[in-house]
Amino acid sequence: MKIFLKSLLETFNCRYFCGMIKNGCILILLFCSVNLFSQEKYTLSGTVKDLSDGEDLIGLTIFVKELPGTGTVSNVYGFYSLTLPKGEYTIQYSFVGYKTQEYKIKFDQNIKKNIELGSDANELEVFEVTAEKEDENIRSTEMSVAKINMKEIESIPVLFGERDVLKTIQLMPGVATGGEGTAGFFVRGGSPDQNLILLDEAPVYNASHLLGFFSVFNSDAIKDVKLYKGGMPAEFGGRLSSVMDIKMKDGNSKKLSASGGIGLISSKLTLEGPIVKDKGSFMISGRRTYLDVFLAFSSDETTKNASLYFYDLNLKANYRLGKKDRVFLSGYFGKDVLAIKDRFGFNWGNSTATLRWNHLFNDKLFSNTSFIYSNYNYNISIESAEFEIASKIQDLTLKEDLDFYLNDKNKIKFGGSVVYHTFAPGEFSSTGDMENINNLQIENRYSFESGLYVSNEQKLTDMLSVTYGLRYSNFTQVGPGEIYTYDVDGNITDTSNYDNWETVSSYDGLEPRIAAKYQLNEFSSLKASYGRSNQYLHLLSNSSSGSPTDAWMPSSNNIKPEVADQVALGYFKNFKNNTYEFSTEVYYKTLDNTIDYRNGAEISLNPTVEGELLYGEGRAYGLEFFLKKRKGKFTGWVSYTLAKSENRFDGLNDKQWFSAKQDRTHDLSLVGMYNLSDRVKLSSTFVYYTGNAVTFPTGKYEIDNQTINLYSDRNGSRMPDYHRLDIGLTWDGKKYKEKLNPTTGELEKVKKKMESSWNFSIYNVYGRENAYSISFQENADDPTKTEIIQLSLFKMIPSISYNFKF
Amino acid sequence: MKTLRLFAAIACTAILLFSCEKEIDLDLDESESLFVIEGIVHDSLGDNFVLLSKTRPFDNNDPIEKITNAVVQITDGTGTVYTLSEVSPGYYTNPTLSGVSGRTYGLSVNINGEVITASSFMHPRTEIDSITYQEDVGFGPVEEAEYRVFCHFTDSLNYRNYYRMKVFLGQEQKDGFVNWSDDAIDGASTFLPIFEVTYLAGETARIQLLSVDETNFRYFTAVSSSQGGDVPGNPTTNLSGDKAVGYFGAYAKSEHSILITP
Repeated sequence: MKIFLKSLLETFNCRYFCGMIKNGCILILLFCSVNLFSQEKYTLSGTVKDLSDGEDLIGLTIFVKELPGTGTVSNVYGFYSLTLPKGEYTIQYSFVGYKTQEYKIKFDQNIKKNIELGSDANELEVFEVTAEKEDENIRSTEMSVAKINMKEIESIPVLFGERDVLKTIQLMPGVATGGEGTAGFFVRGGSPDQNLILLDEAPVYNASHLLGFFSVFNSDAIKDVKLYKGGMPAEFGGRLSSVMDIKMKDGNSKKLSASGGIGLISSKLTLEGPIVKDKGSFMISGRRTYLDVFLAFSSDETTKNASLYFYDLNLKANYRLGKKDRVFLSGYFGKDVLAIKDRFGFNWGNSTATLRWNHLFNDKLFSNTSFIYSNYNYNISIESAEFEIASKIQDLTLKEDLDFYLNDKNKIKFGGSVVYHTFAPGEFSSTGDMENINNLQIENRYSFESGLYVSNEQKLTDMLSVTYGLRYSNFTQVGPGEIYTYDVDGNITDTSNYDNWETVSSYDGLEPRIAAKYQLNEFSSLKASYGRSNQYLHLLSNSSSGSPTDAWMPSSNNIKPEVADQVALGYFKNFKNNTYEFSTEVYYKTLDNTIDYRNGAEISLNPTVEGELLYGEGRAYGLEFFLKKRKGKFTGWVSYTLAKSENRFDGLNDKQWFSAKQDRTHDLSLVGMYNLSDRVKLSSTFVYYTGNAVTFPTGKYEIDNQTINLYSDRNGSRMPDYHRLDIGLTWDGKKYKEKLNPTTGELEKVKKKMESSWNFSIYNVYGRENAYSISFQENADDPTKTEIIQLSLFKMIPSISYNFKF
Repeated sequence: MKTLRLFAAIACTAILLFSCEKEIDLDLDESESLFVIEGIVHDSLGDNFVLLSKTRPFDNNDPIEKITNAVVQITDGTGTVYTLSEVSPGYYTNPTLSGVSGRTYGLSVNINGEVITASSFMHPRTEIDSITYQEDVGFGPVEEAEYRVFCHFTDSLNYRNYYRMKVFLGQEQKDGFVNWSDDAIDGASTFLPIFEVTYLAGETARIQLLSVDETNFRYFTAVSSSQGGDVPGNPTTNLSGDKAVGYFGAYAKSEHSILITP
């Protein structure tokens, strides 16, 4: 601790100036004066890319052979910077799945070096990983992170053959699926709304397609996925449990190429290519389901007139303006439609747009400025009753992030962001001649969410590295609006009117984050982290599995921000020459101002919904194990989590601790992939988890001649345990054709222009009837009797898809 | 083309296999038996009742256990106490009691020494202007024409009204709890479609429009959302103590019926 503090003080002389300006936004001005070392130092910087398609390589390691343990990692834009004392060094660039490159570099001036790394897979017939440095997992201070290799996603069997990053990442420890029929997931005992999902920095408020059976992320358009379960870097804020950082592909900057797939229920196509070779590229990827095409063949009128589909479109373009500047524009547009012609319509969708500008101030200071738009909305129209319901949430964000590569021991990140949120919880309007019904609008709410952060990744000794940072966040609810105040029983005690931009309520908080790594030996390390985060937005979900109509609520004069503190400890070990990767982590989390509902609360389209809420506290703790085999014919992993997640509320269960809905005692995932031959790959996954905590009736009675269920404790019962086995087979087409070389007269292998593969899978092989819902209802034939009905989805679903690339 | 047909065939099979529903047995926890009290005073002579019974385990499908020999009284806020007599097991009523709008009614039930009380305010009546119907264009092919019924009424301006509606087919009350506030219709002359039931030609549609107090409105809103499984829990009731579930309401009632003739 002493060493750490000393180094901290040496690195910075920091002073914080806090001032409050009129509208309630607090500004922190941070001044750093850096103690420069007298020794002569020079900087090597540049970008790293994939040789074949020009995609930036994120997280590539650059290290110095002569100085073991010294090096850096490329950032999300492929930029790196390394400062070393004068001298000659051997610099290695390595990345899993790519050929390592090595250069002798003389550090007697500042040097620019852009590197293009060739992928092994593209050049060699047999997939062979030759990268030497595969121990980034034990070397970095980063812990509590779940990463998915986009190549692995291609072979893991999934429902209807729809590859899905969101579903696949749920096979990692500490990440629990919300169940079938929901895109929501639980991270370390947190609720689904505590996950911040970012697509090219834009928040995605509802990641579900087709009522949650699929996620909105088209895996063909995605380059990289990383999920922080804890120890969140200071640049992220706003959610308690996790940040899922998803980056779209930049597009092939070398040549025009296309890839696509035809599946049982959907098809997709991706086009990418250079705008100007090696200066800019674009990527456009679209996907649409066509279940409704089959519905049209139905003999039943209703089915025939039904629409049921979704589509999404991912777009991205980037362009290099000179040596120091690069701009990116990316967008996502998706929509789900569920309708019966002339009767009923229900559609929902997200749109996001991100405009980014990378600027290199000098070879040590990298800047990214982003302007982000995000929108989620839904519309319901019931034509027979002539009314419409519309709801949306919209964000406008301005964000600045800076990476400062101070020296080979310190890498500083700092920046800030401001978000303007608009919430339109619901507007009920008449579309026909029912003009006598006034349009009912639940008032819009407006707020500003801002953050400032600074963090430093520091190498203290060869063994010990620390990343420490501080984030300041502020949330200010502003007018206009009629604002209610509620008492503890949920009754309105005050109604006040606020003007445009007038502050209604304001909250702020300091969020310290720290992570440390102690290298035990070459193959293992111990890591620890602590982090605090504040959450100012809350999702009110009116069903157990999440639905498109769930409404986001801002913190307000009634709803206080949720706060979480998490500590985690981990042990990381690689063995058998990095063939196996093992990690175990233990975590403990406390939560404040957790939200639950009063008994029988009305959540949807309720103007006084804030009066239906209860505020309490939570705690979650658990133990995670992960073992992965990364190389060889057989690859795969085992992940197991033993956990508990509990809440306590004044108005529920006599103020005793009770299981949160997402409390999962056991959660086990097994994933295996086996290369039968060069072209045939078998894969299988098995999952088992404890059923969610739910509230089942403990009795019944009659009111108004109807059976009413009697309840006792909230979440006092359990859904049945869930388990399922899936299998898959990927059959690649021939990648090479044999051709007679006219000069040598010998047969030569020539790479085919088009690559293709067939994918077969069976979801739920042994047809387990997992409970999707359990309902307690009157018997339709005899209303004096009651019955318990279990609904199961997806009892054995075979699927087939064809994928191509040229 | 062959491949396409194959795809179509597999997709359809997959959809058919999508889901399955089955009745299951669950070993549910049982809570202690509570009193069930359902009491209404209407604004007409002798139109009042209090029903007393007991809750039972969910898997118990025997007839409901009624509570007999209880002492049931209603006060009208002016000092008059009406005692309700048991006319059939668990059914208590008083022929001389007639509710008056603007008064607060009190209920007192004594079951073997356990006393439970409640009160409810009677709001002014909102009259049904008329009931109309029109043929409902069904979702699918229909064998017989079905009719949707609309209830027309005028809400009083600048007065906070809460409504319940009971829907009958002849004498039989249909399932569903219909209740709403006048947020969207304050002062309007309006008509509301009845979603709970469609009628066939020759049937009689009967509708009760009940002006209720906020507590009753909230209770029934909570009943319908808790039964739908959204937020399961026992709704907050105006009955005292924690030994009873149910409600007590003073309702101003307007009732109309119409014979469906195509």
